[in-house]
Amino acid sequence: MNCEDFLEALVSSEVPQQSEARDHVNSCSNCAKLAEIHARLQHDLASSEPLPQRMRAIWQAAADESMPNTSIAQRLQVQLASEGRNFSRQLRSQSYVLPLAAATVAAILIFLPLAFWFVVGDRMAVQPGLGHQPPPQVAVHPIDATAELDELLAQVNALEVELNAAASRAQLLDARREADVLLATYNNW
Amino acid sequence: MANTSYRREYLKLVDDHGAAVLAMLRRLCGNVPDAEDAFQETAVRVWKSFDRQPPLRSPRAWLMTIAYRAFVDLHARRPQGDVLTDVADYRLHSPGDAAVKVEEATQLGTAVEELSENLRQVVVLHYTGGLTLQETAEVLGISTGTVKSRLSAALSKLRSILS
Repeated sequence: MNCEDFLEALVSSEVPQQSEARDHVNSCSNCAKLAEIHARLQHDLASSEPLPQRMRAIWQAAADESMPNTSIAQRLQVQLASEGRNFSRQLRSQSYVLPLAAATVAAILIFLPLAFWFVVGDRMAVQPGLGHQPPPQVAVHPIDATAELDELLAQVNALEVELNAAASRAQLLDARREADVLLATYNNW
Repeated sequence: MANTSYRREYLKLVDDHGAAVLAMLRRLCGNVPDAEDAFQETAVRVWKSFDRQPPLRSPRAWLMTIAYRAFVDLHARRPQGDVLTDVADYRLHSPGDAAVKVEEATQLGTAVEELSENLRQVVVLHYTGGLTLQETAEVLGISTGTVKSRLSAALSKLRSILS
């Protein structure tokens, strides 16, 4: 038996039945390594932890959708599990919000004084070619961006509140998962 | 439409094979939230088709096929997520054993993640899903010979990755 035949026998799960294959693996280190990986795949990839109760509840809920006598507790359990997963994904996708909000506020704080300085500065500058004339009466129109700034700050605050609430819910979710793990391993305490 | 016996059989399916289905989906998806979404989608599809096509011949293969298709549909809609490090399988072992097993499983799991999509799907369906070569071929819509050649290629690739 050569290496190619051995590999063919290995993926066909015929190695234990073939003495030739066993002889070959004893004399070929490459195929011995293949056999070891095959065994590890069979063991490690096939082993699975028990199905979490909430996943079974999700399974059950698919049937309960068409059966009106589902208990409130079952529906609540499914809803919590589903919300937890959705929220976890949402939180991951929104991790950029806080830095973005901070950058927006910083940009506003920098550009507002600059804009004000340019507008008023231009109007107060001496016009070229007219000599020293008394500066014309400049009608200064103060820019009142307070309302916009307040609005933006309010949005930032709202985002911050939302993120804080999200963080709290994430902690609650973590605690719930930890409790699941503890309950699952209760018998080993 | 749904009667009690259907419901009982349906729940027996998840009790018998649910853990394997979830493990397979985790390996296919590469992250837990997507795997759980695919699992939920699998549950809906199984229930919807249960009264039309009771899985009499091979419930496990039937279930894995539906789960795989749910994964494919979800995968088409969503980009790949984080790579899974599945340490939970070993939480029931003693701390010393668990550390060694987690290390080994992480190496193997990472190596499997590095396989190309085609090779990884064959490996996961065959080893984690527990499907035979023929069942794997049917799920993927390819010949048994192709499954064998992909498994051979995957083993050779894993050997080079792990060494």
